Amino acid sequence: MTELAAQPPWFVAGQLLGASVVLMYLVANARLVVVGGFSDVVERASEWSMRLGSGVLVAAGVLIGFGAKTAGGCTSGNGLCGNAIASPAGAVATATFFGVAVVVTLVTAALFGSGA
Amino acid sequence: MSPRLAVAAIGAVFGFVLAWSGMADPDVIRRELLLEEFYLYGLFASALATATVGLRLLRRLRVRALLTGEPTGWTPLRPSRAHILGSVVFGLGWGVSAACPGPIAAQRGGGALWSLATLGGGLLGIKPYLVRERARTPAAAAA
Repeated sequence: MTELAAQPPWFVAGQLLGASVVLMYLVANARLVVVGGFSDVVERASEWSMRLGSGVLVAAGVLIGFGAKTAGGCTSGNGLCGNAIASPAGAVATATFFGVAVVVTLVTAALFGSGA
Repeated sequence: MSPRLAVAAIGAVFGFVLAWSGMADPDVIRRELLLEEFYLYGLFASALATATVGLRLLRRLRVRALLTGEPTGWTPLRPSRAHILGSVVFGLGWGVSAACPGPIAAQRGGGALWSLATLGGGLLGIKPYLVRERARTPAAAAA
């Protein structure tokens, strides 16, 4: 990936992400979602074959795709949009995936070292 | 501006900011999830604050969506088992790979080859769900 300017302050980048969510409602009255877009890709290109890299990443990807699709959103759809519209389901989903991700990361770091 | 182009432009801004803020870098995400840094949490909170205020302004001012002409609005959902179980599975994948769908898309856009693995896995994970969903409700549009 090409080098970008230094990481902006979180409150600057956060407002830009939040503004994107507002823009999506202004333009299309819809949540800004990512997994929904991935679904469209799968539907249009079912025969898509790809050369895949590390098996762990693929497996993690399966969990990400299946989990987010089941939960009705990822960090964007449930985390950002779901909470912005004060949806209880979004709050529950966010608490769950943040908690699990932190625990999983701490556990894998303890088992395999923090660089893993 | 065509509808597709307008939505694509929003996605481009969103993806650019994700990459710019380091959220497409798995090493950064890993440090955040290890609670060594708190940039992600500040970023998330400020994005949420901006979106919350902005969305309520849109609704209060009865702004109509530019593409559809319908009044901007939303329906909060009650939590279900699917929200919790799905988020547990999602959190596992996020914790292991230090990547979630938005940043994966940003990594693809940035040309990071290894993101093909998580992207491919993600598509595989969605595929059976879509098949099942379509079998149940043939006419249902993808959410």
